[in-house]
Amino acid sequence: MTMLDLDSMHSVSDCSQANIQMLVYLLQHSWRTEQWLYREAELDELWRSAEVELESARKLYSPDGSRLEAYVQLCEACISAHNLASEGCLDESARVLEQASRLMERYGIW
Amino acid sequence: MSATRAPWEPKRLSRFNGDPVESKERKVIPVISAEENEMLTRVGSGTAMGELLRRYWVPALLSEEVLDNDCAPVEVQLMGEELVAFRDSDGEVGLLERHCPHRRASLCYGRNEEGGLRCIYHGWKFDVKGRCVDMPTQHGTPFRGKALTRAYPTRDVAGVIWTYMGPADLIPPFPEYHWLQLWPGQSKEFKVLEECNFLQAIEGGLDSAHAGFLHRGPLLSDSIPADTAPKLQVQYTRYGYRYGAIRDLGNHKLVRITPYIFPITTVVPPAWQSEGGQMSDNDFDGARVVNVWVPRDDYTTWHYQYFYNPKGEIDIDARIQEAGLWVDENYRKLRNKDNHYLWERKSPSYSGVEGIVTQDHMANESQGPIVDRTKERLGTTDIAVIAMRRLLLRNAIALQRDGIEPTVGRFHDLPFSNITSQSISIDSNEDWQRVLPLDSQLETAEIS
Repeated sequence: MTMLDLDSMHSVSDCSQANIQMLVYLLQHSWRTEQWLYREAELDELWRSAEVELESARKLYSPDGSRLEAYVQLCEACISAHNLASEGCLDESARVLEQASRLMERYGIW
Repeated sequence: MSATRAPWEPKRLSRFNGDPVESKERKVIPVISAEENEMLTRVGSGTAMGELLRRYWVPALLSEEVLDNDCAPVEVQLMGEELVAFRDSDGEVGLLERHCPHRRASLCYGRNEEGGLRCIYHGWKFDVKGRCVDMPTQHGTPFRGKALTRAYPTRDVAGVIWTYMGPADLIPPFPEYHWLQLWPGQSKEFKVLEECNFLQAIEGGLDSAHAGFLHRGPLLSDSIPADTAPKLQVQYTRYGYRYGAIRDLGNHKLVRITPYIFPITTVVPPAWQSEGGQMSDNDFDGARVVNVWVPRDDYTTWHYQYFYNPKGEIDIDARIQEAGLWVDENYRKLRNKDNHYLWERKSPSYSGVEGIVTQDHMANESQGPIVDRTKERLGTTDIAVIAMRRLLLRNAIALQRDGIEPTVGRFHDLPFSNITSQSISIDSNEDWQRVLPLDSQLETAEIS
């Protein structure tokens, strides 16, 4: 992955694998307290996107159970990662997100 | 990459697979928990936030409310505490527990005369330090001269009576801000009741993105840059933090730098002079607004403002008009939630409401007395809000749980007079923190 600026926030317009991986990278490399804030805000954005996906999946006439489950887990991962980032546990936060990323992959969501 | 499961990957572990009903029932934990929201917003004596806020000097009332020596005493409510203020025969301002320690009658009906406030019920009299100086109904007066009622220290500075409500042995230095040291005519203080919890009021003051919508209108139409999604960057300091709201305008950036002075103060940067954002190089040019949000109780807030210009005279009438600072004798807005702020859909302003402060209060009060933060969804322009909550929470928890006194904004060598806001125009590749570096005495590497 190319170098990303750790001292500014990055746009997280959806909960695609590309964005999740970008956040994992940012979490793994951030260390200053100001950077925690940026990561926290980016995780908020990711969570918001995941929630939108979850709600739209729920509203389908015939909901796909595995897709629903994937987004439920992603939402939970976002919150967990967010709270860890806010406490400065960035490595752990990255690990939680990485696990979620693998899960999404497993569910076939890219 | 294939979207299907690879042979070496484990089977899906989810017990919810194919069962959307069960998934629906799963509850997602909010980012701000109900417990944290309680901790952030409750301000009474003994609460975590209440104790933290009591470690700082705060405005208690305007000097004009107790203008003359021996004037009528005034009801004051601060952080849920019922108090009474009076100016004694020597011009000293007292701030005492409102109810007489004898039989609890209100001292607001007391007689303010000859160096103290006398309860009209039995004539007990108290000086500004809370000492009982006369007990005419008691034989022997065993308590005379003893501090019988709670009294808070006061400072009468730049039109505001300030007080400190924390432990006497932990009193911090008085914040000698530069806007408190100006000539009359350069600065004007205002007070207005905001009918919501103090925290959501501060959050509004740290949310640069709202200006492009809520305050859009004829008064600001030329002064708000086109970029409605500013990028925010936070820099922690020894007084709290400052943040830059950066708006990208192609070949240059406009940056509005707002200090958040822990725990309840912000300094609004000067308005843009033109679409091109041509700003003075001098840090202290241009009119600014200081906001201080003091909790009255859990559900209402005293919003104090200083409007000042360090380099010239201010136009007070124009400021009242611009901000919509029309208040009644109790400092309640004339345009308030009971009359829907005189909201008009066909008003020339975007919000339908006149006056920047009224617009802010409308938005904050419409969130409810205390926002349920478990239901909110923050975005990237909320970074300054997040930073403020983190600072408050960490310090409140440290104080309550571990007995660690806050240091941020309480350092004895903190040069309060060097704290200011700024609006600057810089090249696209420049860093605002390098263009306008912090005074070295305000810098901090890390903050608790």
